[in-house]
Amino acid sequence: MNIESLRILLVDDSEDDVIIIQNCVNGISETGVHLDCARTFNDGHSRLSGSQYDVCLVDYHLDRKTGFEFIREAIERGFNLPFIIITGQDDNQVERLVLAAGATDYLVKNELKPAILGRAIRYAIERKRVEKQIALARDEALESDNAKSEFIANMSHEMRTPMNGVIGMLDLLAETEINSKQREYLMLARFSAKSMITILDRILDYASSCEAGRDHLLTEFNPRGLAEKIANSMQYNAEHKGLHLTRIYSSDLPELLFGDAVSLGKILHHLLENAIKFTEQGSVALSLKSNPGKEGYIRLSCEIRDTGIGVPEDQHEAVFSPFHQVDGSFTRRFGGVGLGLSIVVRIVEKMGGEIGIKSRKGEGSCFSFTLPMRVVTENKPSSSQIDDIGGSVLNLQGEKLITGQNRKLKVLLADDSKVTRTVFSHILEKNGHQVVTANDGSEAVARFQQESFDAILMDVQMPLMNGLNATRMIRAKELTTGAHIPILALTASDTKNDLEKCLQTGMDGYIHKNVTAAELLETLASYVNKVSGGENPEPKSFAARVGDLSAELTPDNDVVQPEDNERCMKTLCRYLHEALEYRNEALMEKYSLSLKRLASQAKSSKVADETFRVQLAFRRGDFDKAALHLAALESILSEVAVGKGFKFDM
Amino acid sequence: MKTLIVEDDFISRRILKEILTPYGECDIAIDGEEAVQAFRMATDENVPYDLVCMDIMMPNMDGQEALKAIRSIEKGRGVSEEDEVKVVMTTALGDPKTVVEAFYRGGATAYIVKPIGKQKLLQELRDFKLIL
Repeated sequence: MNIESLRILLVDDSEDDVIIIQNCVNGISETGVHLDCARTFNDGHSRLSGSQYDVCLVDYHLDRKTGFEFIREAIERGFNLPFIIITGQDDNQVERLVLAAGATDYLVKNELKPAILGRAIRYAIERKRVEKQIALARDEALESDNAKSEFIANMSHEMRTPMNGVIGMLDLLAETEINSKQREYLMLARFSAKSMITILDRILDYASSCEAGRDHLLTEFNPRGLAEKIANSMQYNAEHKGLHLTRIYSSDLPELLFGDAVSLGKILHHLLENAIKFTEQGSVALSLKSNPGKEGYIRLSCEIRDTGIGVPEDQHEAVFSPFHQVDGSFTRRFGGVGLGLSIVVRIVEKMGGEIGIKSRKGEGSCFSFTLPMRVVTENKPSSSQIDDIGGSVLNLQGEKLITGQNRKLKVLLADDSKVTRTVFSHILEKNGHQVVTANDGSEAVARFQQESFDAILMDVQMPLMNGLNATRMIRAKELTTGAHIPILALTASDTKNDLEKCLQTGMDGYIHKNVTAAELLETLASYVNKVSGGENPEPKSFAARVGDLSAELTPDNDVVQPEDNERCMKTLCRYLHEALEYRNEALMEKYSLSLKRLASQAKSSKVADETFRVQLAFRRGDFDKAALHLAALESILSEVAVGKGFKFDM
Repeated sequence: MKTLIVEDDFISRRILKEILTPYGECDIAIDGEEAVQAFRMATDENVPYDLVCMDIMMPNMDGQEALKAIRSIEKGRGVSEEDEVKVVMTTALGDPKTVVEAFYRGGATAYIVKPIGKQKLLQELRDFKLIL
């Protein structure tokens, strides 16, 4: 840092101090150092907002407040520059307070000399620079960690699809006429494929447990019922190994808790699975009890104790880290990816709980964790009971979804910042609204044309197309339908000018990005009610929406001459005949796709539907039907030729 | 039983078709948009589907959207609740959010996490009384 171009802000209410420091500053350098003086707490803050400073010197005493309070508030407001406290006294307490308040250094008044002040300033600036670099490096590391988790999640997902093919085909093969040897091979192959899927699931679980902000739905649930469900699902594995799986529930366990039941289930599942896996004989015991917590909460405390191989004391910490197994050698007895406990730790930490292990080698293990959980008391707000759901696949065990009383909205959220999208989606979805996101203005416009929404939240500054232009386009499109969707600007700005610009463009209002969840929901609801309260337009039927969709699907905006379009369609029809004759499905799909595209350009749903009928029949293997539909398609097209001018059905 | 299979993955389509063809005609749609179109056409022609087997992750229009569209077409035509088409959603994603979405907001009848086992699927159909 070149000291000649320094900008210093001094916040000091004493005339004498200002003179002393002014002299010192002048002594640092004859030229170039710019010193601003603020004489009060508030003046200091407004100057900080007003211009850029390299360092801020703050007197220990300020009006009726202290310099520490000044610094704390400044940091809270996001000012990230080095602060140096100027104090009259020097003792341990001051030093401790200085650092606690977030100041970089302190100087004692009667020791002030130009050299000392200059050095303190240089050091403080340098220290701040290093701090910022570290923070940046940390952010980058986190980001790359997230990218990795995302990659792992995607990969495991991608791998499941072909595995699905493997298993399905093996199943089909097993039903053909095969001898018993072949059947045995098939069953072994299927077993392997199944194990592979279990591993993929585990990795997917791990990756998603790393992902920040990925919450499960909060539900009301019965802790005992949940634990029973998990334990029952493990019963078979335990019995298979000759182990007793016992459960102990304390009598003070509440009937109903409110929280993330899915995650709690996962924790229990992994811990029980581990206990059973690493125990050769004896028993596995699960116990659940309730410890007092802060008001309205309990600390749900759970223990899983086994009589298995145990964990040597020097490895207690390591077992919780990913990819770790006590015996990691090539000859290890136990399989698995070694992710179970690290998943558990992450989930427990995310839920604000603690986990620990008590174990010695050869003497079994005891894993215990506690989680804060809200207790549901009787006079709870009415949460609508979800209807009994059919299907044996899903069993939520009487858990109820929490829903608010307000109307559920479908909201389009356009913002280029992933953080904003995540946060706002999270708030809205948590309250039962449906959110569709767009990364920029042009995507927002495209989405708006494809689906119908109750409201749009639109960031103003976005790449490619900003929020104002997107709003203009949407308003222009609405001219034809007479509809008016509430568009609210998402903005970080408070200036009247900016907000007026939003309203002039056709937005209905704005929401500040620092808004609280309650404010967001309230503002959104008020604008939606305002619009639907006036005219209360019938929501478009979906059939109509799909109609709109195909009309908008025109691949590009080139104007195709109707005659050309018509000729192309007829040519494609001829090709389709050939594809049908040779039973070539790939070609049939290709020509049909082109035909449907042309049909949508010509706004003819008749042609598109008939083409699709050809496709469906062909895919079924019903070639006679396909030929019939193709003939029908040709007659539709020839009618057009007669009518000319391309008047279709829509 | 008339079935509409909605799948973007070729092999998964084949598997479902092999499993279900013995029980009746199977149409195939390769994305949500096609599914909605096929459903609308079949309803208009008075030969509705008894079963829709639909993947959730698909290009153009995903399974959740398509399911909503299908339910809304039924509503528009005044189809009574017991005559609604049975919809089995299939997906590689077993996370609760997807499941909840499929059931509560979309109106799926059942939900199967891939891999789709033949017995698992047929059991569902027996539960719906679509097959014996």
